[in-house]
Amino acid sequence: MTLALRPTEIAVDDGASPFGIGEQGARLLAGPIASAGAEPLGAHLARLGALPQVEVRQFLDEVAASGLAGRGGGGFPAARKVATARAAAAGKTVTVVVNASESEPASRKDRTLCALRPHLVLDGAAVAAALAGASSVVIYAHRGADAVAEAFRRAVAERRSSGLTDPVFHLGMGPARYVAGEASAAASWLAGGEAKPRALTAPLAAAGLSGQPTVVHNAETLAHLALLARFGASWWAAAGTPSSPGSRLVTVHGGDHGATVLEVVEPVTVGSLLEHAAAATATAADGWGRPGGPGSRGAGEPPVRAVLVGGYAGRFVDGAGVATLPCTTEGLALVGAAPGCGLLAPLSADACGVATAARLARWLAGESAGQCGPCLYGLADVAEALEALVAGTSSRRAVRTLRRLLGEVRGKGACHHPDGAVAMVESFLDVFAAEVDAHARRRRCPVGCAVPAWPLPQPEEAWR
Amino acid sequence: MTGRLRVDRTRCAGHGICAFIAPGALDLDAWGFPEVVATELSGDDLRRARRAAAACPRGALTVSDVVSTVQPLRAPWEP
Repeated sequence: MTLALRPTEIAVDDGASPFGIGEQGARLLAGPIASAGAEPLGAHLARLGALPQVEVRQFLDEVAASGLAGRGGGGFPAARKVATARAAAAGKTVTVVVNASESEPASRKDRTLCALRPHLVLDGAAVAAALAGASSVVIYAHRGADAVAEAFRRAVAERRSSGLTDPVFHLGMGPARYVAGEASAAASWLAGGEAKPRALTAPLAAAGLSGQPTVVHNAETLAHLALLARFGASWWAAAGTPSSPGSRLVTVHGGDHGATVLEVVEPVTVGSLLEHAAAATATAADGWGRPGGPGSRGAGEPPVRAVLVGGYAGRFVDGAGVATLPCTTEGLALVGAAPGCGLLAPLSADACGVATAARLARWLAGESAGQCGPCLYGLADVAEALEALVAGTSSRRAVRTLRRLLGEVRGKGACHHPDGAVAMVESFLDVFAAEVDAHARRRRCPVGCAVPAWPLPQPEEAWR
Repeated sequence: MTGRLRVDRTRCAGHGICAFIAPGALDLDAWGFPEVVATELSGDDLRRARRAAAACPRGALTVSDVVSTVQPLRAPWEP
């Protein structure tokens, strides 16, 4: 299933040619077309059957064997978090957190999944709660994510009135800040504090903020868990690749054209995902599905200069190689990238990579929680160095200094926010080496430092 | 006796006193924030690190005892 989304509205289904899906069909996004909205409980149960009672020990082994890795960005083994919480559960109150915050400004995959298949996510949360020994589940989202909140409110009400045996579900709307979606920040907020990352001495799953085990899983990860419980590890792991099994939701950011959410079931190249997304966007615009039609990159469109992979704190990869670059964990690792939150943001040749990186770096610096000095001051210095390139006041020497500066920031935060920002800028310096050099020598930028329409939301002031 | 030094960067405000008290364990970065240069400490360095932890106005440094050091596995033919 392919969904073309505008930032403000939810989903148009192209219905015609599901992509990256082949014989197996879509998994997380299987079922009614996107324009039908959230799948009601009755339809969900009729389609997938009731959630089976899982035998905890056996199913924990099954999840571990499946190789399910977190889909929020970190890629942490999903089985380990619940197993850790279970081991620490004696005499404690375990909480499962559905992390539906999706803080990445250009990512749409979690809000799409939550808005269309809320019961799949809640099933997964119920399974995680059973595995971890939790009696309550908190759905954590950012304030302003109204579609997600509404979908969950309705879904929980449906489940209550149908008498499903569920854990108690709560909905928590935290501040709309980039780092507020980080697991320890979410746990801190739930414990009554600010939604800022914390320096942890023990894993959250063993001892969360008030000493109680807290299992924080991304919404997509939990939806996968719901499928695992129903259909088993061998079915589940038949999708994807042996070392990064399972299907994966991907957001292809299309600039002015909105975003496209795809479920990738079989390994495909980054280039073909971009093409398919472009075709799907054309579909959304005129109502007709024509893969390879007017929306796909063809004669009229400028070529892709680079693709930002994995989020704003991800890595730039050179556009020249994307046609053959597999969009898998192993394939992306070859160019130093990782799937992260599943974002692919193409930067076309009519935009300036230098100005784009400067914008991103300034935004990421502004999203520091301001707790750790090297992040607070270091990222601001990095942004300033990039802005000097754009302004034409930099030099080759200043670029060398910037490289040294990046090394000083890496690994210096309580969370990985500075590391991600540094990695993005480093990949930018590598991929855009020629442009960086031209800007450092104060040559005229051929595209006038034009920037793409990537969302850079104004951060909310409050941290509570 | 060995100890392990840790900086809670969310507490640290960059006073920099620690790096002067325990230069063998900590160094200051470009913005004046401490960098742990030696995590496992003993002898003089450990004593100084404890003093630095006590002197930190933000309580950002902790020195914990390394309770058990795991003996590395050694092949029988190795000395």
